[in-house]
Amino acid sequence: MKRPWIITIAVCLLLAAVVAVAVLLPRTVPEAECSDVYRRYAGRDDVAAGYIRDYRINDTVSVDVTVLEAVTDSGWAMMCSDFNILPMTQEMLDFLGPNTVEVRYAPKDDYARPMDTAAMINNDVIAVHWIDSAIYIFRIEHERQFKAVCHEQYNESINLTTSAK
Amino acid sequence: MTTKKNDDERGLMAEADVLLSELQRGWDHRAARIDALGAAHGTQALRPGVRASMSTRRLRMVRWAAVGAANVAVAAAVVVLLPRREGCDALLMAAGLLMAAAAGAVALLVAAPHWISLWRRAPGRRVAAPQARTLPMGVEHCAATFSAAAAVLLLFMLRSPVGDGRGISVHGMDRAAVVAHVDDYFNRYMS
Repeated sequence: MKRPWIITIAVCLLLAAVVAVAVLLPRTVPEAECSDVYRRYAGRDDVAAGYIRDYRINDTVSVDVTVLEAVTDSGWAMMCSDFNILPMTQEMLDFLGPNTVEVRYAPKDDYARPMDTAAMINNDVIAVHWIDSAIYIFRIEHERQFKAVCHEQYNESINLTTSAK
Repeated sequence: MTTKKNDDERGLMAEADVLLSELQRGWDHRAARIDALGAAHGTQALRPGVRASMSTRRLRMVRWAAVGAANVAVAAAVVVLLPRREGCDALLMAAGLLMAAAAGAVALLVAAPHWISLWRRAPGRRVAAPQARTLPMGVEHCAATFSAAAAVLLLFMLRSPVGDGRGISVHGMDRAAVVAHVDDYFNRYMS
């Protein structure tokens, strides 16, 4: 009578291990569910791309993030052109330091266009890291995400949801 | 009227008793022949109840082995495929459904003999052998229960939002680097 129970316990442990593995291991998001900008750059050799679904910023807010990192100078030039980023001189970079990130806002359908001033949540947040030649795109769906992503740089006077008059 | 009905019932019960006695005699006769065959081949003779119990146990072990094999296959598929393939949500969903189907099938297999024995139970029944077919909480019940629980957990996990940034796709960059980029954004540049 002992053996069946030993086997049962072993199977329970196995199942628990399977569930734990399924819970703990990172999952690959199917390409169809990734952002448009990730899919646009994912096939290129000169740009490395990553997409994180539901990156947890704090206990209540998660956001989808696309990370683009230029592998070559031509890749970085192309990204700057696509996102309408003006090049920065080396002197300026030296002055600002290695931790400098430029945060900008752009309409969700075209990141090269100027920000939609009617309501900030109509824009996605784009952070440009000059030293790493990297761009982070935060998909904004609601106000709390916007505030969490922009953190201290968020200005309370910005009109987030209602149309400006 | 009532007397006639009682007489009919008594007659039916007597007939059932006769049939059961015949069945028991047939069972005993065949059990004795099997014991004789076993003795002729040098194996130890077993009483019918013990033999039925052993046969049931063997059947239970076969069913159990099927569940175990299914679970191990699903576990292997999940462990191997999960981190490597795109669209693993669909694979996990299929794994969960497979486990649920296996659990359901085993539960049915386990429950069926019990239901049948309940259905066949008659007043005054004295045949001993089929009693061994009724299975209380056994290994299969446990296996079926835990398989179903695991399947439900998997399905629940897949249907709920990821919520912790573990759903990642990469091209030309490893997962840790992608997360490190975003961690840096929040921990170094935004703090």
